[in-house]
Amino acid sequence: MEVDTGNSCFIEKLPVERFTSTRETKKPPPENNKSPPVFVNHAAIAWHENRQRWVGDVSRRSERMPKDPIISWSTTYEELLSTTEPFSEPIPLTEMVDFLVDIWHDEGLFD
Amino acid sequence: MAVRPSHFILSSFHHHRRILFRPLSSNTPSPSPSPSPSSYSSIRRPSATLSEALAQKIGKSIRRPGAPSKARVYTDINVIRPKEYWDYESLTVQWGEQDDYEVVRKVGRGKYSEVFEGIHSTNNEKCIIKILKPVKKKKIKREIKILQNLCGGPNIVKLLDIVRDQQSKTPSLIFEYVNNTDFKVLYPTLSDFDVRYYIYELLQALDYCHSQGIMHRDVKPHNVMIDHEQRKLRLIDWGLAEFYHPGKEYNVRVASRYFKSPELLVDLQDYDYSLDLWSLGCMFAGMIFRKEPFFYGHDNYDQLVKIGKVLGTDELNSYLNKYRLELDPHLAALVGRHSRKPWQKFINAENQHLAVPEAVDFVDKLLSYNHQERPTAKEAMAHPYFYPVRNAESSRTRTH
Repeated sequence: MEVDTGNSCFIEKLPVERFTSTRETKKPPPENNKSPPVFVNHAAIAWHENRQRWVGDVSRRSERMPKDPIISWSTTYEELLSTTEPFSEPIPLTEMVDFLVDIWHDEGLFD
Repeated sequence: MAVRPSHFILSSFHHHRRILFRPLSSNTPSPSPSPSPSSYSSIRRPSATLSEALAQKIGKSIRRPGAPSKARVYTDINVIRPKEYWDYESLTVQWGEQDDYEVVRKVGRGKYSEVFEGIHSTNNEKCIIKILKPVKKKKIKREIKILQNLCGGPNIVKLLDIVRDQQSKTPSLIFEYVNNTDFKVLYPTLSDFDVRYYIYELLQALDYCHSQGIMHRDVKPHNVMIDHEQRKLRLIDWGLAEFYHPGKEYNVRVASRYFKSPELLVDLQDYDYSLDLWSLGCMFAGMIFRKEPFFYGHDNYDQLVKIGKVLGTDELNSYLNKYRLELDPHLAALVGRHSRKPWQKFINAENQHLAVPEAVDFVDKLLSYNHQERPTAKEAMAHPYFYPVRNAESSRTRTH
């Protein structure tokens, strides 16, 4: 493998693209011997790994039975969301989004 | 090479939805805490009418060329890093499974979201679910990109998953759960050491995001979650955060009124990370003087007036001169002339155990008009006020 020996301390960080880049064959800039290290977004890589771990094994997800809605059609925003007390039972996120979207429509937030 | 998103192609399958009928009139929630100027007429207070009449005439400040501003530190982070790091608009989002989550209780609401405590039904773990109100796609991408770039940073809230409602396209952000105590309840109970400890923790988050080329732009107690039992702090709500590019002119309509820095109030658009240190200063002043909010302006103009009454108007004018800024004459009239108020005047029997000399020296440095004179987050962490925290920290690491 051909690697610029002038910046050997950055070798471990070199992504694949660097080896295929046409710049690789160019001489380093005259003012300094080191080209800047290639930036690797380790945080973003870690984020994707963490998300995978959090989401878990998708194939093991149990079949969800369609449930009756928990929020009654006549429930108002104040009735449901004026306190931080727990709801009488957990509400599927999809149902809560539906509820809020209706309210936001009425408020003209989608205009 | 960027790959076009395949996940934007939606499956034609839509599950059956309940149709909601709700009376229109009962749906109006209470007004947001920061009403737009146009909504003021409905909540007009008699004492505020004169300043409001003046405020209506106020135009933008004038900035003459020749005195640009740049961050003193972390200036070139996004110059050096590839476009992919900061070009949030080209982010392609892989949406997760909305049906995996349930909400248990509401925990808060903001201008741009409704926030819930939730559970991830496949693993029964607690989380925080932020359902985003309709805003530009660009803004959502910015928040996600920033949270990804800051992943693993000290005291930065962890984004766990991103899901979207198929029908309405409403995104929800899934965060780690933090057992927060409302700051209005918690802060009055904090000891001198606790305040030092939590401000130091917050500075770590700020120094980290700044070192990654990102300004938070909405630092305030509501966005600092504290689990006091675990002594755990998280800086949350990165919805207004932005990448810093030297010389770029930013929107000054950021941060919440009481925490808006002078540069935002005088339309200096090439601001930088140092605006977060001002907001932190306001929050810190509120804590040590037990006065929340510390600068209590009733609109953005009055906010500058309130600052001028504490920090002095001669000092404000030298700041304006330095950056060749000229206030609209109506705003200058509103600000008037005030001498600097000594910090000692804010100390009383209730706060003297917190407003110790090092704390007062520290708040004085944070609350500098000139953003370039404020300490950076890193410099702030080296202030003697934090010696007890750093001593405790180093003795902990020695014994473990």
